[in-house]
Amino acid sequence: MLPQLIIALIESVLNQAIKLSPQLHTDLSTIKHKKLQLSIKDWQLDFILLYTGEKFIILTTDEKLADCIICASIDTLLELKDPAKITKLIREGKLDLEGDIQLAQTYSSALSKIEIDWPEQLSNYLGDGMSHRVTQGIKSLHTQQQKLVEKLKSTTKHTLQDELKIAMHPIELTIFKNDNRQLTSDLELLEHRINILMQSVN
Amino acid sequence: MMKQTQDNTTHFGYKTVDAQEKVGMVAEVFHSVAAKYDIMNDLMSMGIHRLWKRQTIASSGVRKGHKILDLAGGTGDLTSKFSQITGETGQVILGDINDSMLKVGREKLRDQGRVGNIEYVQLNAEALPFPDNSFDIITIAFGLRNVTDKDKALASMFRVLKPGGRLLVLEFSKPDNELLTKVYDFYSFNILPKIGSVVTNDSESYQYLAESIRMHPDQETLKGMMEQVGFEQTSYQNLTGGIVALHRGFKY
Repeated sequence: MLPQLIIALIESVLNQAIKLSPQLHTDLSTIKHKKLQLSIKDWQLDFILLYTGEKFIILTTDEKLADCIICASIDTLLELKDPAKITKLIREGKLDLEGDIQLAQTYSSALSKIEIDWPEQLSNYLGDGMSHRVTQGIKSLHTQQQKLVEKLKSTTKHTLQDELKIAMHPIELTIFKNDNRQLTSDLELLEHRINILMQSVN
Repeated sequence: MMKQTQDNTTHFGYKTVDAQEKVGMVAEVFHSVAAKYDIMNDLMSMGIHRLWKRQTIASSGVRKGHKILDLAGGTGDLTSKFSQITGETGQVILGDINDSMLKVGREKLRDQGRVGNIEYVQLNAEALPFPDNSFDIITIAFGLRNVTDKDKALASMFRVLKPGGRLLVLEFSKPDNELLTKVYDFYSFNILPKIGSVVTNDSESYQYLAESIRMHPDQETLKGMMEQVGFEQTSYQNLTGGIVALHRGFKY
């Protein structure tokens, strides 16, 4: 029953998205009632995505009964946000596709274009003023978070580069080794000459 | 097994009654609970009945243009989803023997805006009023247990199903675990009638529900009954530890 529960939750999220982004209805109008089957390799789970003209229905399945069947790993499926990547992924052997490729492309394109007007949606519950403040607050938090992430990235980068400066470079090590060898050789030569001189003195 | 005996009696819960009487007694139960059927389903199953029904739809292979018979369809949970999937070119018939349940179902579906491809028919599952080979899919969810002559009903479903079509029976069954059986029995006979008493002011109907579940054929017996009337590739799937089982059979 767990897959059913998870899928019910995903269905309800998608249906909420379609309410908040009415453009989806236009984008999906050509594939009404067509079934897209997603076979997720990592989870060994097959499910069907269907747009009825009003909402999405997602169902688990143990059959191959769809207009288009896509078999891929979760990582590959996430890459499908870009419809142009579908043929590239098929060529790379990361994605198996049977049936109507246009169906997959339409879903991919429509879902990647979801745009929700959050201030408008929030204003239904909070009023215009409060909704504006909340969205501005969230935007400002988001900007600050991005700045913080950038700063952290830069600090990490510099720390790593500084560490590289402290550590010996491989060329320096080679020069050091060569000098060392030269010194050893000079010493041996000197020792040899001293020995010869000692012998001549004696 | 709840089968008609030689002297033409059958079970109504744990009671043995005249086969003719059972229809009226079951009708009384559903007249009494119809108005609060949905809320009771949610309370009794803690909402899990929605997942059992999702599994039924997932196993049905339903697609655009299909003709579906939702037997004992009650308040139309399956019909609603089927009607959205089959679209304008499909048709869903919500059939129920009980007119109170049909009225509640029709009102609910119309309020949801589900019109156009749904028809409502008051019918007896033992003698379905449709021509042979009429439907792509037949479902009966939590209804077969209340039918007086189950073999006759299954044969009738087989007759009206198209070749290649499938029957799905969602019904209470036998839990596959000893501990779960004990907990489930305690819940069914002690808590369930009390919930019924508080919400619908009718504990007897829910006492009948608990008893009728115990008298219903177990998973293997029901599978055998389906095969007996001609269904092929029959199988069942236990849901929630076997508290409910989903049987599936095909007509070829």
